[in-house]
Amino acid sequence: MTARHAMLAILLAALAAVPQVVPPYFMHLLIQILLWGFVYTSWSIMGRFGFVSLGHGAFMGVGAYVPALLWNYFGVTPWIGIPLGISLAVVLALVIGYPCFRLKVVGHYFALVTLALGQVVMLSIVAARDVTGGSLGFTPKAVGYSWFALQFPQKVYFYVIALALWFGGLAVWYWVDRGIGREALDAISEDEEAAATIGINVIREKLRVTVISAALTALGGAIYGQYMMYLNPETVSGIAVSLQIVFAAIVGGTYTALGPTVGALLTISLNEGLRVAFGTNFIGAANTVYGVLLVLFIIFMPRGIVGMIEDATKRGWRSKPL
Amino acid sequence: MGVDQRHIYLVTSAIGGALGGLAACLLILQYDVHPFIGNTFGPLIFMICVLGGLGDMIGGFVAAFLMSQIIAIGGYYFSTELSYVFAFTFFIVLMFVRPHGVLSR
Repeated sequence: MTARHAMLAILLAALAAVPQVVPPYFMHLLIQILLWGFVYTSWSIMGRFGFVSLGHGAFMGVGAYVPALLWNYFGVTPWIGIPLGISLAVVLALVIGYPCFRLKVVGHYFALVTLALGQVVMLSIVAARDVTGGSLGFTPKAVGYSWFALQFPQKVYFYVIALALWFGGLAVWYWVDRGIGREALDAISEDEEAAATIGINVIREKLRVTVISAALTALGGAIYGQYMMYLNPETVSGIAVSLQIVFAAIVGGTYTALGPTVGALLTISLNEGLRVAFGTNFIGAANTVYGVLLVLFIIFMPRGIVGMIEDATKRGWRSKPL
Repeated sequence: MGVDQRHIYLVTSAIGGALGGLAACLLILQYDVHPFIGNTFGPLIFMICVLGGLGDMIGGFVAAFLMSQIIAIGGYYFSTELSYVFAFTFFIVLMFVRPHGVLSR
């Protein structure tokens, strides 16, 4: 136990020292990894129970656009705008989730319905181009250093915010993992009918975890928008983001707490590393290599990197006997 | 029963890929080619298949007709993006009403 505490103290000290020693470019990457890690963790909160949502881009887009729009057009501080964005995302999750769970839309069908939801939100943002700037993107009005506007030119502030968010995300993950709902959700993911017959309120349990997941994703989107100070429908919502979330979480390991974060670390550093390595010599080659690696990872490590490491350490690094 | 599963899967996915390629060749008569052309059709195709009911060919035709009409008419009266919004919303609603395809009972 004391060794564990010491390790935790060292980890915290290292995290606190990071802004002093790391150059700005890597700070930027680190913040992105933490923010995306938070979003991926939010997805895995429901993804690990077999409710594979391909529409988390919708929640992220709503969470990112609502505070930015309110700030630009009405001068509403993000401190109010972000909760409003989260509320809207939760309403969206309920509107889609309730009929889905009521009418037993599961598996591929659920994935497709959420995929359509993601597209609906993205295309609505593009269609309302008079307000949102459409595909050209949207830039929140910059006011420099301001707590009121939640805008900080220095990366340190966002590093601390992202770190807090990430820890918060992990805390929620553990809370769901340890809570009473966990057994119920496991039972539901095995067999819904059987779960219902032993007295589990299937709809309520599923809705609860969906709402938690959607709210956290919207929060992640909002902070991502505040950090990047530029929103584009393609980069905060729609199918591209939804799939990015799912792939990264699966590569890292959906069933473990740190899996999605490892996924974020791997996908973002791989993407950036390949981009830097190939440069302008082979435009597109980086994406090709990235895609091939993702396919290989998903085929050969279906439980993800962290999942595989856990399996391996449990079995003493020996492969499973047939 | 002596069915070679791997063989059947291989052949069916090969036929599927070949037909997809043929469909793309035919689409090119009307659309222009660019690297992201797959992205514009991919999700829509999957949705139409599910809307028609997986494995139901007639249902697939009906679903394709419905979706393309919504997109075409919506695009004429409103805008292209809004027409897709209508189509996807229609898909979501129909998934709730008829989860096993438009022609299912």
